[in-house]
Amino acid sequence: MSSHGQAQLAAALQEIVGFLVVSARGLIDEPPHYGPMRLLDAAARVVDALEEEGLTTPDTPRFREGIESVLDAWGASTDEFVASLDAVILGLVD
Amino acid sequence: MDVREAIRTRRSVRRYSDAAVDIQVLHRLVEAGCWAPTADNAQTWRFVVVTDAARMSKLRMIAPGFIGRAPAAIAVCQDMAEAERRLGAADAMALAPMDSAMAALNIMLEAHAEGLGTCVVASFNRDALQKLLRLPEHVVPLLLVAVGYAKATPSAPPREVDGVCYFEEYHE
Repeated sequence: MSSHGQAQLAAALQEIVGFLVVSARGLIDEPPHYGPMRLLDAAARVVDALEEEGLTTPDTPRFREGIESVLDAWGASTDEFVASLDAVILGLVD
Repeated sequence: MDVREAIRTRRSVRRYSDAAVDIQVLHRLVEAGCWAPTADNAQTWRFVVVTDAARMSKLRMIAPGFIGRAPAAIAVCQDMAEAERRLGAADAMALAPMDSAMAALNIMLEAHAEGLGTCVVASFNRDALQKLLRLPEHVVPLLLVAVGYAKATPSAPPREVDGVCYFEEYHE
């Protein structure tokens, strides 16, 4: 990876670290079911950062699609959200 | 876009394309916000439009509710000193957030009519946002509206009118 790419990745990861720290504080006051969403958003941000620097595996696109499907299910029924999440988890061991 | 269609087809967008939003368009969105009603016509709202990439990166860090990489955001704030002067302390606390919410909805509907996606966010660290936007202590951020071109538009959760709407009298 070029030094520019390394700097880009470092900046993206630093943003994610900050997001996790701020989320930790926010979740003390926020509804408990926001927790899963914050973790999934962090996962999506990590995948974004890795993809932008070409640090992917053959499984990355499938993993990304899974996370995005769960994010899209947010706001729908809890059952739909949990089912989407379960599908992604089972996909991890295909 | 017809107002009825706009109300029913607006969605909370959480995935955006990288396309930038023209600053004139963002200005129009704020103008739409300013057409919302306010208590005592006080108009004590203040809007901060953010598009700078470095500042947006920090915004995504301190606003966990800000999901996706929207290229722009509008912070809907209230000048609480001015609101208290106009409305009194108790009404300012109660009504200024409502005024901000109505302005935010106008912004989102205008954005929808412009072909943009939005998501209103209240999950942010207020102190950090205040510092990032250089807001004085009496100007309080109440809502953030993420703005960008939608990469994916979620389906609408069902709306149930029966069971929440009563005519003349409430009944169990």
